[in-house]
Parts: sequence; C-alpha cells; structure tokens
Amino acid sequence: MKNNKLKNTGVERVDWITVIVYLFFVVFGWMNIYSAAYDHAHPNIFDFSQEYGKQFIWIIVSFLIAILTLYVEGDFFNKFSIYIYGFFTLLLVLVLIVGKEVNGAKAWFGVGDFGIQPSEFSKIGVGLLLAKYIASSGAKFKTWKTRLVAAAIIGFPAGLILLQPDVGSVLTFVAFILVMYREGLSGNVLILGLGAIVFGVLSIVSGAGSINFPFVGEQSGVWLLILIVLLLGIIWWLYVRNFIVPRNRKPLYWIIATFVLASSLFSFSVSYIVDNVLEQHHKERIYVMLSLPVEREGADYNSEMAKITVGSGGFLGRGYLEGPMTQNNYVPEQWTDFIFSAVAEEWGFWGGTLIIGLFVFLIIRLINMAERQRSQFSRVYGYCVACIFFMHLLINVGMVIGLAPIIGIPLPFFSYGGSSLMGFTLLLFIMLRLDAERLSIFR
Amino acid sequence: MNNEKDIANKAYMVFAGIIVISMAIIVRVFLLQAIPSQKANELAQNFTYKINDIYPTRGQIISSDGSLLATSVPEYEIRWDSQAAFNKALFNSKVDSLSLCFSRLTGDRTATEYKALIRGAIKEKDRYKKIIDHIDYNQLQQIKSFPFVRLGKSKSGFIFIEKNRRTKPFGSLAARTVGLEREENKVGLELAYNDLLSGKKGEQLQKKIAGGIWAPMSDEFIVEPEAGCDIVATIDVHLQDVAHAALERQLIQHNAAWGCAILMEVETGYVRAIANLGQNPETGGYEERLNYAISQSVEPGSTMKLASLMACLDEGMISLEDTVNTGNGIVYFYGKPMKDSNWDKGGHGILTAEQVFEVSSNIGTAKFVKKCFEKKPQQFLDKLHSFGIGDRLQINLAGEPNPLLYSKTTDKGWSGLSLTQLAIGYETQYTPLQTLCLYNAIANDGKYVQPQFVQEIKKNGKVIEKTDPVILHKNICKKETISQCKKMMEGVMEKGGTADYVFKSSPYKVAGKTGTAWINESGSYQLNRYRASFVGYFPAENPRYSCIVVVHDPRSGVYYGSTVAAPVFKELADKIYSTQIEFHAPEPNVDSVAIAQKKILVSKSGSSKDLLTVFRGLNIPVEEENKSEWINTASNIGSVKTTPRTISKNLVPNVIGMGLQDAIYLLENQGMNVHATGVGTVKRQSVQPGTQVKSNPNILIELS
Repeated sequence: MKNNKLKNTGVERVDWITVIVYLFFVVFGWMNIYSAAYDHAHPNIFDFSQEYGKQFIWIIVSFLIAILTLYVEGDFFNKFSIYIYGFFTLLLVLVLIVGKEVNGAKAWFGVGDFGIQPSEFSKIGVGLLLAKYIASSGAKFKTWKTRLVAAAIIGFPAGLILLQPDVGSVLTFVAFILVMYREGLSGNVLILGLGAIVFGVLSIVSGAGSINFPFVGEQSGVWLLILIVLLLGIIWWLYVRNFIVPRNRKPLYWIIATFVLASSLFSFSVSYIVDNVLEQHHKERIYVMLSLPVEREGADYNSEMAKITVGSGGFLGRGYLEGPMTQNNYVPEQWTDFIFSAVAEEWGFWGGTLIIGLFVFLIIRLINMAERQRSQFSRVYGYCVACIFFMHLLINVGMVIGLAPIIGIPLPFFSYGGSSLMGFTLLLFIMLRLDAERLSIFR
Repeated sequence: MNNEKDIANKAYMVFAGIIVISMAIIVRVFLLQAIPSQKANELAQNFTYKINDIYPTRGQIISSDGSLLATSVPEYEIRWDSQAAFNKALFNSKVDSLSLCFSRLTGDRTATEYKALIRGAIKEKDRYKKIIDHIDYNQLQQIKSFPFVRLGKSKSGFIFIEKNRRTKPFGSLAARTVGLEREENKVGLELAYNDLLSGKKGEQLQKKIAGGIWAPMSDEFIVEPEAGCDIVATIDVHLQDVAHAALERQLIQHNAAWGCAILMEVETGYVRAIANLGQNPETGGYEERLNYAISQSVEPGSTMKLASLMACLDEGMISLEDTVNTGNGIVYFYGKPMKDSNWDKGGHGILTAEQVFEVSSNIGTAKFVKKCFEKKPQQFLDKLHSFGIGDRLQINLAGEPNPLLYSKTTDKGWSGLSLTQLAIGYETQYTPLQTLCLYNAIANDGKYVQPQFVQEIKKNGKVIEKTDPVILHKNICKKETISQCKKMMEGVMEKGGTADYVFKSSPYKVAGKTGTAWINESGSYQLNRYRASFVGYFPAENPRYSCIVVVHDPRSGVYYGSTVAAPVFKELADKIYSTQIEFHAPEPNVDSVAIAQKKILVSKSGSSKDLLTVFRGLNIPVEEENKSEWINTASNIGSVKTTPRTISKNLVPNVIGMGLQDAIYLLENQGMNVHATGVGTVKRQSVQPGTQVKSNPNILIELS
C-alpha cells in the first residue's frame, strides 16, 4: 500500500543512469566553475558573493525543480503545452520591454543581483508544443501547411530572441529541424541547409578578398565565385543539350537557370549581409572562425586564448586548480561560455574527452529513450531534448576549440548561470518523467 | 511499412550524424592538445599571443672559500628596426655622428662601415637588424646616450636585447671540473648539476610586436620562473691555484704530454683542488683540455704495490719483517725478465717486505705475491676487489670509466704471467682519482670514501642541501694491516726510500708512494717513455689531506715519480701547512680549542691589563699562570685560564686570537704595516710569527 502512490506516479521507473550522469555533470561543472572563477580573497566554495557560491544556490534550486517535475503527471505537460509555450513566449515579449540590457542585448530580467534569461526556458515551450502538434495532427511535413505551422511554432520565439538580439540562442533552435527530420521532413531540406552553409562560407571567404579582374580591375572575390557558378551552369547546360533526350530537357533548363540565379543571389546577399548588415563584432567573429585576417588587433583574443588554454592542458592536463591559463584568468568570463576550456586545461585531453563522451552517451540515451516511447508526444519531446543538448554541445565546444564562431551559448549543466541550469534541468526532467510513465500510456 | 522503415532509417541517420560530429569534436580537441604538429607550430608563429618560456638566471658555481667559479653575467645586443616610425630627416642628420659613436665604442668597425650597415638595413627593410653584439651594461648605458638612440625605442627603432653569458672569473682554474655550459656536450659540474643550476623555466603570456619580437603582455607570469640553485664546489681557489701553477711548472720543465693533480680531504672526500693540464699540440702550452683525473684510465705501475702487499699482509701470509731475495735485479717469470730500477747496479739483494715497498722493488713485490697466491690466484683477485678498487667511484661528474681489474682467473687475458704483472701494477687500469681513493682509505683508517665535488647547494643564499661524506666501504682491511701500510708509506720518505730527499726539510711528515710506469701505447710498452706519479697523504701522524700527482710522458730525460710528480705534492702541502691554522702549535690556539670543546665562554687573547679588567667587571674568576703583559686566554665552564704569550723584539708576534686593537698595537709597535679584513678575532696572519720583521714589513690579518 505504502508504495502504491509512488507506483502510480511512476517515479520508481525513472532512468537513474541519466540522473547519475546529470548529477555528475552538475557537481563536476560546479567544481570547474570554482576553479575558473577562483578568487584568492574568497577561497570558500560556498561564498555567495562569488560565482561558485551563487552556482551552489542554483544547483539547490535546480534539484528542487527536478524533484517537483518528477512528481507532476506527464499528461499535464501534454495538455498544458500550449499554455507553457505561451507563458515562456510572453516572457520573451516582456523582456524586450522591461528587460535589462547586458552587453548590448536585452535578454535578462534583473532581480537584484540575480538575472533570469527567458530564452533558456523558451526551448522547453517550443519542444512541448511541437511535440503536441506533431502527435495530434500526425504531421509528416509533406504538406506546406504542416511545414508552415511548425515553422511558426519555432520561428515566433526565435524571432523574439533575435530581436534581443541573441544570435547564439537562435542557432540552437536549429535542433528542432533535426527533430522534424526524424518525424518525416524530407532530408532534402537538411541537404539544402548544409549546401547553403557551405556556399555561404565560400561566399564569405571569397568576399573577404579582392581579385584583379581583366578589363574591370579590382573587384570583390564574390565575382570569382559567381563566375565559377556560371561556368558550372554552362557545363551542365552543355551536358543536358548533348546527352539528355529532348523531351526531358526543358524542366532541367529551368533547374539550371534557378541554380545559377539563386546561387548568385545567395552569395551576393551573404556577402552584402556580412559587410553591411551584421555588426562589426559579429563579422569579426565569423572572420576569426574562418581564419580570415581581422583588421582590429585583439579581435581574435577570446578565440586564441581559448585555444591556447585548451592546448595548455596537453594530454594529461595540468591538474585541478593548477591550469596556468585558467588560474590567471586569461580567458574572459571563462566560467560561463568558455568553461570547457577550463576543463580541457586542467583535466587534459582525457578529461575533455570524458565530458564529450558522457554528453554523447546522454544524448544517445535520450534518443533511445525517445524511440522506446509509446506516445508520439513523448517521443518527439525526447528528440527535442536530445537535439537541444546536441546543438549546445556542438556550438559551445566548437566555439572553444575554434570550430564555430564565438557565440555565447552555455554548455549544459557546466556553464555558470541559474537560468541555463534550471532550464536544462526542467527540460531533462520533464523527459525523465514522461519516460517513467511510458508503460502506463496506451497508444 | 515503407514509411516505418523510412522513419527508422532517419533515426539511424540522426544517430550517425551525432556520433560523427562528436568524433570530429574529439579529434579537434586531440589535435589541439596532444599533437604539437609542425603545422600547429607554424600556426603558433602567426598567433598574436603566445605563452613563451622564460628561462631564469642560471645559478652560480662557487668555490668552498666563497669565490665565484662560474657565473652568468648579463650582456646586451643592439638591434634596429629600420621600419620604425622615426623622423627621417632627423635620422639623416644624426646618422653620421651615431656611426662615429658606435665605431669609437666598439672599435671593430669604422664609422663608414657602421653607416653602411645602418643604411643597408633600410634598404633590406630589416626590422631586426643586429648592429652590435656582446656589450656590457656600462657600454649599454653609453649607447643609450648616443645621438638619435637617446630618443628612445619608439622614436629611434633601437632595441636592446638582454642576454646571459657564462663566464669563469678564474679562467682556466679547474675549468674542466667546473665545466662548460653550452647547448650540447656540457661537461663537469655544469653538466652534473644542470637541472639544479638551470632552475625552473617559467611561462609568460607574450604578444608579438613589430619585428617579430615577443614582448610580455604584463609583468605577471603564468608560471613564475624559479631561479637556479647555486652550487658550492669543494674546490678551494687558493689551493687550486697552487695545484695548477705547480703542475704547470713541472709539465713545462719536463716537457710532458699531460698531467693532473688532485687534493682531497681525507675524512670527507671533498676534492679541494683538481688540476688537469694537457699540452696543446699547436702552441706547446698547457691548458685544461680534458679531465684526466677522473676519466683517464692508466696502468698505475708501482703505486699498485700498496694493494699487492696489502693483500699479502691482510691475509696474514707475510709480515713486514719477512724477507725476500731480489737477487741481482733481474728475475725471469715464465721466461720473461722482470727488473728492479737498480738492476744495472747489481740489485737490492735481500730485502724485508717493508724495504721492498720503500725502494719499490718490482721483484720483491712480485715474489711476495707469487709466494702467497701462486696456488690460489683467485684469492688474490678477490682480495683486491674487497679493497673496493675494482668498482667505479660513482662520482657525480660524468666520464668515469670502470677500473680494469680481472675478477676471475678465467677472464680473458689472464695468463701465468698475470699474477706477477698485476702485483706491480700492470695488466690493470685505474683513473688517478680511483688510485687516490685507495691511499685515502688507508689515511682514513680503512674507510673508503667517495670523492665529492660539491659540498653545498644554495638557493637564494640559503643552504638547502649539504653533501655528507659517502662511505663506500666501512673497512677495507684489518686495522693492523692499515698501520703496517702506513709504516711502509712513511718509510718511502725516510732514508733509503724512493722519495727520501723530497720532504727532507719539510716541517710536516708525509706518507706516500712513488710510481714510474711504462707507457703502453697501442699494445706495446714504449722504450724510455714513462708516466711518473706520486700519491700519498699528510700529515702522516694525523692525515688530513690525500693527494695524487700524475705526469704523463715527461720528455726531459727525468722521469721518476719522486722527481717529476712529488714536487707538486710538496708545493700543495707547503701551502696548506703555511696557511692553515690547524697545523701550527707554536702556541696553542686556545680559542679554537675552546670552540671545539663547546665551552660557554669565548674570550680573546691580548693585553692582560685590559682583559683582566673585563673579566673582573664581569665577575669571571681567572686562573692566572705566570703573569705577563700579553696573554692567551682559555675559557673553561665559568672560569678563564690565562697563559703568558711571549712577544719578542724584531720578530713578528703571534696575534692570532687577539682583537683588532691589540693586534694592530703589537704589530705596529714592531714597525709593520697592517692591513686588516673582517671583524672579531684574528684568525689568520699573512706573515708567520717568529719571522724577522725587516724581511717583510707588510702584513695582512684576517678576522672572523
């Protein structure tokens, strides 16, 4: 009898392995925040005036959130997903009005010393609502209508975040496209997206230089790229004209024309946006990532420092609290978005690999978890959680090691910050709750 | 169905994508951290910021008496950034006078040449042109005041680079032992203590500035460099100087190929002097070329006879009084002749064992060894090994070879002839230092100590490590054997011994052994080419120092150890005897006695009137023995005993133990000019007490 209530709630079926990984991340992350933010005047890890002391409060709050979440009926998240989505989206609107500006972005609600960043929570709302929509409509994204609805669900909060502006957080919303792919969205969209990225990079790289053309003199390098596209178009056209049966030629001519025109327009607009629309520091960050020369001295400081710090760790690491780059604060605000550099310096390649490996383990476990769900809602939500973690891991670690531009997004559970820790905790534990009661759900 | 499969495939695609991308991240981390590839290094070249290694100043090597043997001194290099933003018109107006200044300072280039050099840098667009190298601090200060340069780095483009240069203030003194500090093939102490001397390199974040120079971003270090430790060598500069000079004189006089001299403290194994001189084939002069003393294995010849007779004595097979017939100076072993040095004068006839050693009879030694060990040669080898002479000394300087000594009679090369050859120091090889250690062990009553070259390691002026004597063998033979050996070695200096005339007039007693060995070159013994050696210790009654001198291939016609090598020993012993207070007991040095006995009181010697007033004032009971104007004082527990000190007219008084006031009073009263150093009581006086004042009116007294 005593256990009956628990049995009904399903808490005893919680996936404890995931919980253990979560606890490890939180505690190990806290240790590394302590190391990265260490201040000789405040050696106590519970000193609430310091980042590590504050993080301790966030950890306690997050644990409470986690426990509470486990005791909420899974059906609640399904039924109330639209309200949860609405609530977090409202916060995004409010933050634009009453938020406090930090580093040029209106992304925070300031409460005394503490701040709340609603964008860290809005992903939960998007994940839940997207799951609900797909589950209830059986959408396979074959029709434009379903695609548009999904795009609206994702795009509305993303647009609000872009207004803050916080490009980094918006980028993580790409995670939902992966989810839609799993649920039926054509792979061509992904390929098209990937192609756009490659072509975009090519445009930026070629646009950064200039080339001396015959007759017209010095022109932007983008012209060379367009010339190559044109050449490819002509070769393709010649091929079609000579080797394809006449009745099939016409649609192919249209495709060729579209390809050449769209590519040219795309590379022009990319290089125009980079040169004229993006702010100077964004442009610099992209240039730094692509190893292009940057005019302003020190623009590559963060990136170089982070790479030097990772390199300083070597194979075995410098030892906890002994990383020279970490202890001497060469990486600005290392305890937030650059926390992985502290891990890599003090714990070395093995420590860094362990963390990445555990993240991959967590993500794959989440995907497995998603695949074993009877309810489509739970499955889609599971994919959302896994893909969000993946995007964060990819962009954050990629940024530290110079694979991605410097975009301020946190490493889940590791980076200092209450909003992100609480947000990720909620995100994860909703899934754990859904998973725990999966057997009591009938299709 | 198809749709289901499609969905499942998509799930796998997502899986695969995640795995592949994660692997890519890990690979990138690996490339950043684990593989410092060529490409990464090239990339690092272009980094604007980099962690650079900062090397601390290398520690010094100091002699035991506090002189610098090796130190790093700063020197500077002047470079010029020809593309710096300087005033072109001003530059053109000053370049002539600047070139002239450079030329006057260095003298290695004319003003025109300097001008061409500077102008050339502009043409080459060189941003880091070396103008002058190896200048010292004073010269640097002068250059900083030169026209144009004085505008400063940013307005002139002149850059001063500080470097360190290793120098030996005492030049070639013990140069091979102090060692060479260079990138490769370091030698001596510089090599042995390289890690300690170099300290720990630090790390600093640096920024690349114009001209490819790395400049610190701030004064802070990521890892603070740790200065190298100072090494206090056991070498005493004064003794080293004597050893070097005396050895050089002998080598020149006898036109020898090389020679070495080692002076070692008996009890501790501290090497106080080690001179290695080899003839430069081009100039004919002598310089520290190789560390013969520790690295040159040679056949010891007669000096080995000590070990041979020791073996016989220690096994109780012979006594010093046992006799042997050495005949007419020639004896045949297995058909090969063995001669004594006076074979042409008819030989020594019948000798006791002691006499055999004293006259260094080959035949006598060989016959004793043969008599004792002919049946069991292995026992002889075992005995020799038990003395420790078959093993390396494991000194911390590199280059010590293994001694060559048969360990089994089945070893390659052993023949019927080997026993008698070995007995007189052939078919076996040792370095001079290894030979010395055996004699040192006798002097040290059987304790076989390891030679030490470093006595202390200091860090920031504080001693962090002291070298304790290392005892390799506690007791190499019976006590009785040791006193027998000592007796034989003392006999060498007495009438009839091979070195009886060398120390005849010396006030101290020496024990030792001469050696004159044939030189074996490319497998055969060379006619009339010898290696002379002398090894021993002194004072014989209470040995404090042991010493070996080896002179290789003297070509002056004189080649006996007593004539060629022993004089170097004598000069060293004379120097020690004359400068070290412990050897003098004309009037007991009561202060040192008191200190040695750890009495609570220390008192000066000097004017009795003054001292007695002080003692009375302090209520210290005084036992006076024979009142006198000048007294020595000896402190006992709670009381002081005085003894008179005699001061004679026109003779230099003994002022040791006195305060400065009394010492100056006494010495100037005798008409001497006094120079004093230090504070406390007089520890040393440069003119010995009792000498005529007239002969040397200048005196230096050291107080401590």
